[in-house]
Amino acid sequence: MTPADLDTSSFSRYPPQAAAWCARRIGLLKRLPLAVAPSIFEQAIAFDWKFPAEKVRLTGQISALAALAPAAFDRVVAPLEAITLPEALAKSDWVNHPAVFVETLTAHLWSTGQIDRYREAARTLLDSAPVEAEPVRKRTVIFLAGAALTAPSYPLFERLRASGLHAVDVAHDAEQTWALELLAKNASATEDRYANWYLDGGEPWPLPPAAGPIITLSYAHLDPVRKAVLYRMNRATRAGDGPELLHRQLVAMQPEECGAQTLTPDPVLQHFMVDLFTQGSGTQIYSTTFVQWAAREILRRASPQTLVVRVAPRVRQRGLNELIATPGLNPDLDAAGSLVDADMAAYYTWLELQKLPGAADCIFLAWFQGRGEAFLTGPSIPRNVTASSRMTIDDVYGLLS
Amino acid sequence: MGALLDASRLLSLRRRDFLRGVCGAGAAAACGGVSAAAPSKSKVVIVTFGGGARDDETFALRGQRNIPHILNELIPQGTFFTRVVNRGILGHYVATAGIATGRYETFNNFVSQPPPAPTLFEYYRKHAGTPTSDCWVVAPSNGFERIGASSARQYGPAYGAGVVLPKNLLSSAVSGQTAAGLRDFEHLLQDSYEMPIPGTAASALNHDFNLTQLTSALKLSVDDFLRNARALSSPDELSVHVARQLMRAMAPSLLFVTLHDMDVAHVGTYSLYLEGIQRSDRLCAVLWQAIQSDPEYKDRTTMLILPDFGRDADGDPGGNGFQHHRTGGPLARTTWLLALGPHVRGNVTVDRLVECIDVVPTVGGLLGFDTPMAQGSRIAELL
Repeated sequence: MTPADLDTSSFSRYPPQAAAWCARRIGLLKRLPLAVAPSIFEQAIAFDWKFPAEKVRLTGQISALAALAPAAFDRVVAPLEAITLPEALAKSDWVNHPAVFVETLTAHLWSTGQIDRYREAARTLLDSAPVEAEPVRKRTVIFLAGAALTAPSYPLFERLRASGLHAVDVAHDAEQTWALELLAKNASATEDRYANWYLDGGEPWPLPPAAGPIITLSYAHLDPVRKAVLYRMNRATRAGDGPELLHRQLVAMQPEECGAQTLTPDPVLQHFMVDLFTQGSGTQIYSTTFVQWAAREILRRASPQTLVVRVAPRVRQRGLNELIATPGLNPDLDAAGSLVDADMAAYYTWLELQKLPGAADCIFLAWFQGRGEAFLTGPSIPRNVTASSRMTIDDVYGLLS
Repeated sequence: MGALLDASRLLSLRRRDFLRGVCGAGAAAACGGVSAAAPSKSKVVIVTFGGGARDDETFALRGQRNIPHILNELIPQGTFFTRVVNRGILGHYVATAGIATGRYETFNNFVSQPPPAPTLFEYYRKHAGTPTSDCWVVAPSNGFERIGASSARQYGPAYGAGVVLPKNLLSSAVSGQTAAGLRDFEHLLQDSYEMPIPGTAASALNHDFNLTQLTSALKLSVDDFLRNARALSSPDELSVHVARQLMRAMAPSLLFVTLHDMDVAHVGTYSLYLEGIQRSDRLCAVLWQAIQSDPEYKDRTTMLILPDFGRDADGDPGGNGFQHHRTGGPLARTTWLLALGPHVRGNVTVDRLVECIDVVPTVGGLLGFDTPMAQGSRIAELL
C-alpha cells in the first residue's frame, strides 16, 4: 500500500479525533512519499492525546504543506521520493502501526547509508512549511536545585553564563515558596489547563491556593507508572527479548496498564505520564534524568506559560539490571552527582525554552540553593555579567522589574 | 555529506587550537618521514572508547579537566589526528566491528553476530601463522562476544582472536559467592546502558568456558582473580586489569581493548558520563605505562586510542544532547585518534581527515600484512 491508496476508511482503527483529523486532510496525505507519511501518521494516531499546542503545530504543518503550489510541493518531496525502501517495509501495515514502520525505516536508513540524506530531505520538507507563529507568551521557567544537592567545587552555569546574569552570593534562605506563589499567581490569570506546570524530582511541595489550573508532576507521585514500566522492562530482560522488542513493548504500553488513570482523569496527561517513562531513557531509574527529560517534554509539547522545576537527589549508581529489578531497594543518594546532573539539566531546559516562540522575552531563573548561586536571563537582563554582591533570591528575581 | 565535512573541519580546528595552547604541538610537515622503522616483533594495542566523548567534555576549554592524562602525558609523546570521521552506523558493536574490519559494517547492532568481513586479527594470524593466543580482544559483554573472528570465507575463527568478556568472567567466578560476597563485585558487573540485556554467562557451558579462560589465558585462579577484582572500581578498570594480565601471560602481538564506562550517558546522568570519561583518560595512561614497563612491549608497541564515534550535539532536535548518538550529526560522527609508539612522532597534530576504517590498513602496514577487504586507507603519518 502507498499513501496514494489511502481513503477515509483507512483510519477506521484510529481514535475518533485522529480519524477525523486524517480524513479532513486525506488529499495532502495521499500525496506524501512513503518514506515520510508514516512519521506523520505516528503523530496523527496519537492526536486525541496531544496537548492543544501540539495539535495546532501539527495541523499548521500539514496546512502549510497543502498550501504549497504543486511544483513547489513536488520539489520539496523529491528527495524523500528518492529514498529507497525495502519491499517488505512498503507492504507492512504502516497506517495502523506507523511507529514500527519508522523504527524499521530508521534501521534501514542507517544500514544503507541513507540516514544523512533522509535527515536533510526531512529538514527541507519542514522548512518549506513554516507554521504560523503561535501567540507569543511571556514564559517563565524557574529551575530549582535544593540544598541537598552538593558538589562544592563543580563550576555551575558554565554553559549559561554568557547568556545572562550569574549571581554568586545568593543568601541560603530556608525553603522558599516564592516560586510556587508565582506559579499560582500566573495560574490565576488563565483558564488554559496546560499553561502552568510544577515538576518535582522528589516529593512535591504543597501548592498555594490558585484560582486557575496547575499541573503537578513529581517523581514520587508517578511512582506507580514508573514501577509498572520497570516491571515490563524487567520481564523483557529476563525473557531475553532484546532491546528492539523491548522498545516496541514499551511504546505500546497504555495508561491503564500503568495505573496512570488512578493519578488523573485527564487522558492527555495519562498518556503524557506514560510517555515520560516509555520514551525517556533512564527516567525510570534516575530522578535527575526524569526531571531533565520531563522539563524538555513539557516545554516541547505543551508550550507552557510557567514551569517550575525542582531537582531532588537521585539514587547512587548501581548495575542497570539491578536497578530495574529492584527499584525500591536503593535509599543511598548521590548528592554530588545530582548537582552535576542538575546543572546540565538547567542548561538543557534553557535550550528547549529558546526553541519556543518569543524566546527573547522569556524569563529563566536557575537557583542552586546549596551553592548560593543563581542564573537569570530575561528581557532586561544583561548578558555575561557576574553579580558578586550579597543578594536574596527575591533580589535576583527583582532585577527583572 | 558537505555539511558533515565542514563541521568536522571546524571541530578539527577547535581541537588543534586547543592543543597548540596546551602542548605546543606542531603540525606534521608532510606525510611520512617518520624517525625510524618499526622494530621487529612489533605489537599493536588498540583502545576504543565505546560511547564516544564529545569535544565539550574533552578538548573544549571546559572539558580539559576531564582528560589530564591524555593531554599532559600522552599527546606530548604522540601524533594526534584531530579529524577522524565515522560514516557508518553509530551503534557500538557494529561500529567497533567496523574499526576491527576496516569496513563500515551494516549488520544489526543489537544482534550478536560475527562481522562479515575479515578482522585485523584474521589478516594478521593468517599472514604470520601465529596461534590464537597472539591476538586478544577485551570487550564489554553486551553483544561483543563474536567480534574476534568474521564469517568471511577463507578466514573465520581458525584465524580469529581470543575474546575476553571480563564481566562474564567475573560473573562465573563469583557464582559460588554468598549474597554478601557478591556485593563486593556488583559495581563491576554493570552492563549495557543503552538497553538492559540478560547476562550471557548464565549457561553451564559459558560458565565452564569462562573459568577455563581464566586459568588458560589469564593464568589466574578464581581466588586470585576475585582478590584482584575487589580492588577495582568499575567495569573498565576490570577490562584494563584483564588486558594487563593478558599482556603478562600471553604477550599478544595484537590487543584490542574497548572501554565502555562512559556509555552510561544513555541513562541521562551527566555526572556519571563525566566520571566515565575521566576514568578512561586515566586508564589509557595506565595502559601506556604498562606497555613501557613490560620488556615484551617496551619500544616495540604502537598504541592507538580512538572513540568509536561521538555523541549528539546539545540542542539538536533529533536527540537529547550528550545522552545518545542517534542523530548522525557531525558531532556524533567526528572524533579523534591518538597514536603512540617508538616510530610515532611526538607532539604532532594532523588536521587532515582520516576515517575510523583506516585503522586496519594502518595496522597492516605496521605489522606487515595486507588487508584486502578493508575499505580504509593506510595513514601515511604512522608508517
